[in-house]
Order: sequence, then structure tokens, then C-alpha cells
Amino acid sequence: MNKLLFGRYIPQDSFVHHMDPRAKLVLSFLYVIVIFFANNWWIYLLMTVVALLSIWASKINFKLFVDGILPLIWIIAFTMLIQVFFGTGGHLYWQWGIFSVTSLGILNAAYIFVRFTLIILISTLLTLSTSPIQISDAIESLLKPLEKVHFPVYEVALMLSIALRFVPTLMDETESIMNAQRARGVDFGTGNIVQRIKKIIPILIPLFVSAFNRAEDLATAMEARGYQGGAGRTKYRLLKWGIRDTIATLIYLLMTVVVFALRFF
Amino acid sequence: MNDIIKVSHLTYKYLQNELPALDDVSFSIPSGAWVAIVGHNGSGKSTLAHSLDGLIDFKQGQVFIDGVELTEANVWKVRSKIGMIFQNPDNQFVGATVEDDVAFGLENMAVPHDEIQARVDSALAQVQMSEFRHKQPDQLSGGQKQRVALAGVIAMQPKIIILDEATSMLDPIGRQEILGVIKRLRRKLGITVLSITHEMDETTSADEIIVLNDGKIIESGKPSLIYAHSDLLLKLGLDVPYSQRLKEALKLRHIQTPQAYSDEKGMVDWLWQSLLKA
Repeated sequence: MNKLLFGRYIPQDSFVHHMDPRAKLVLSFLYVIVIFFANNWWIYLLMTVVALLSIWASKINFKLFVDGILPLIWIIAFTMLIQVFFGTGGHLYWQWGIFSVTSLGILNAAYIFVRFTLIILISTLLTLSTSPIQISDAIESLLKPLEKVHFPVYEVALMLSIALRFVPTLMDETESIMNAQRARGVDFGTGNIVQRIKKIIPILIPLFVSAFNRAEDLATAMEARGYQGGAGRTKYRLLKWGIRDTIATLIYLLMTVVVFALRFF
Repeated sequence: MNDIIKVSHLTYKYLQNELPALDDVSFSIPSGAWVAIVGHNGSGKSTLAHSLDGLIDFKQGQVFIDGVELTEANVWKVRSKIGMIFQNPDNQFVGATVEDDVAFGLENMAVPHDEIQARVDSALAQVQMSEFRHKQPDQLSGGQKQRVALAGVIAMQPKIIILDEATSMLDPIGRQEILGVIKRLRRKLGITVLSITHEMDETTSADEIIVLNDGKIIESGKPSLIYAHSDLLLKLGLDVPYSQRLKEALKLRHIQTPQAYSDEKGMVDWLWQSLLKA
């Protein structure tokens, strides 16, 4: 699970990896928003080209992206089937009660397939090319304006980064608690769903106790190292907007303009 | 030499306990010394370490660190003079990577970015962790994490380092590495070291040992003096260093041994020499 959620970052020396994480985050969002305006194949073609170009610029093996799509294939298939059977309009091929297969329904299903795939590709590109700490830095920086309304931006970012940092530690801890329970004869693999859930409780309680102990130790250690809250701290990690970010932004803006032109004119 | 740490009549009681954890403790430590505070679990030694850094709000007694009295108003000033390393390597690692963790204290002190960079580089070099700077904590061993914690302390350039059982969760090699770095730092920068431990082997390089039991100082003095009272140490649930135990065993066999304390190597040398004489 750990590998799936957080260990996915693949370090590389590439155009995309050296980009400012803020740019990557914002451009990924922009891409996902723009794709919902797509309504013809020309737009999808253009957006596929942009996605593939971005992936190529990251130097990450394409197989890893396919691995990102596979777990979601059933959701995509299900959404497509709903479109195929419930979509209306265009030439009617087949009808049975409320189910109907129409030419527009099939077209929409195909659009949705492409749209889903592209969204997954772009978000996978973000997580594969950006480490969690960079994403947390980017979020902190982007939320900075909220400090004006006294939103504790720095504290939230620190919480996020400490949470990420302790995920592997707590995973290890869960593993050793489970082993301790196994040594006392607990079998986690058998029983119905209620029995299995009951077996989780003796794992969760020691895990919570230890998490609280760790939190207290960590708070003491942070205090001993002079932590007095976010105000007045300097930053070791600086985000730098570079020429790469400007180039990427221009490409994505150009894409956005062309998409809107193709859609509305 | 002036006293960098001065504690007078310090008393502290935890709310849930009957007896005080610290009972009228007074001592002073000269600048540049290495002092070991020993005692079994629950003797109050960790409470003492926490009070020196203002991590415990004591009501009775006074603590002076480098001439500054520890009060609520200047607790941050005092903390900037002390670097603490705690027991659990995982629970004091704040940053997402090694370099972030070393930089954490410097960020708190609002050190400018370029200087942080330089200080992180040099601190990591001193603990020989430079090549691990981009690693995450789960990719490091316990000893490596403690070395990172030590780098975090070095980077803040404190006058005092307090080791709060910093090596008790490490294997012997990890322990030797940490102690080796501390010894080197002390020679180079003249930092005062206060090590809190129940591991008597760790006290052999100390200038002075303070023995704590039930919140009271029951003995203090040079290691050789303390080790000579091995029956007392054993009664308190503490161990005696191996070379000292060997000496006692030889004494039982009516063999004359040197009076002064000697470490394992010293004992080996002495044994060889006495064999030659015999």
C-alpha cells in the first residue's frame, strides 16, 4: 500500500523533474479542467499529443503509466457501459426497455474513455515526477495568500509533511504489531467480514497508543530545537520559477486557447 | 573555568506521583566538561535533562545555563544554547529527508537560506552523512538517524550537548559511532557534554559521574572513584564497566591491581606487563 500511495516518485534528471512543483501542480489542474471542454476528436488529438509530449519530457518509462491505468480499468469500463446503454441521440441501433444503444452514446463512451485515460496519465505524471515533499511545498506556496485571512498555511504544510514522513514508520509498526498478534495465534486471513474486522481492533489500539507517544516525543524534540510556530521561520527549501516552467506554461496556455477556439468557433 | 550549568535545589514532582522525581538536586558543571548522569529507570535522570532545557515546568529551584537563568521569558534563549538528542531515533526526525531534518532547527532560528545551506553541509560532513542527504528516514538505520539528529544539533552551534539516553536504542557499532563523533566535537569545539545513561560503559570517557537515585544525587566524582564503589552501583541496578569487574575478580584472587581506573585497553596492557614480570 505504501508503495502504491507514496513511494511512487521516480527520481530522474529530466525537464519535468526540474520544473517548479507549483507549475506542475497548477498545469495538471489546468489540463484536467480544459479536458472537460473537449467535444470533438481534434481537441482530444491535441490534448493526447500534449500529454504524450509531457510524458516524453519526463523520461519515465511508459510502462509505469500503464500500471497507473490498470487498477482503474473497471471504473472506466463501467462508466463507458453506462454511456453506451443509457446515452441518447443520434442513430438508434438497438433498444430494450430503458436501454438503448445509439451512435451518440457510443461516441460519448469513446470520449469518456479517452478523457479518463488522459486524466490518469497527467496525474500519474505529477506524482511520478514530484516527490511528496515537493507537492507539500507547492501546496504551501500556493495557499500563501490565505495567510491574509489568518489561515495557518505553514502549520498545515508542516502537518502534511510530518504525516507523510511518518507513514512508513507507522506501516512498519503495524507490521510488527500484526506479527506479535500472529505469534499469539491470531489468523488474519480467515473468518467472515465481521470476524476479520474484529481482528483489526487489537491492531489499531496499540497503534494509536504508540502514535500518541510518538507525537509527544516529536513535539518535545521540536520544541528542544526551537520550534515556536510558523511565524518568523526561514525556509531551507526554496521554490524557484525557471525558464522550464515558463515554457511549459506557455505550451499549456496555447493548448487551452486552441481547445477553446476549436470548441466555440 | 566558569560553570556553564548550575543547578540549585531543583525539585520536581509529577502530578500522578507521590514522591518527587527530582528532590533538591544541586550541582554545577564547568565549561567544556563531559559529565555523565547515571541511574536506573525512574531515577529522575531524564526529568533532570528535560528541566535543564525548559521542557519541564519546575516550580522549585533554579537553573542557570551559561549565566542565564532559565525562566519562562528566556526559555528560547536557553534552548538555543543547548542541543538535545533523545532516545528514540524515529521520534525526533522531523524533516522529510536528512537535509530537511538538519535544517529544521536553523529554520526555527530564522537563519538566512544561504547560511542554512552552508551549515547543513558542514554538519552532515562532520557526522559523515553527506552522501545520505537526500535519503528519507525509513531508508536509514537507527545509528544513522541518531547521527542525523547529532548533525541537527551541530548545525545549531550550541554550547552544550545533552544526550538523553541517545544511544540506548542502538547496537554497539551505532553507539560507538555516536560517541566517537561527540568526542571529536568536544576536542575541536570545546562543547560541554552531558550524557544521561544507564550504560556504565558509556561513562568511561566522562570527567565526572553523577549518580542519581530516587531523584537525589547520591554520589558524584571522577569515574575511578565511582567505579571503586561497585557494590553501591550494583545495588542501584547499575552495571560496572568490564575492566573494573575484571579488576575486582583479580582482587578476590589476591592479585595486586593498579589503583586508578583503566579502560579495557589499559587493562590488557597492564596484564601483558605483569605477565612479563611474573
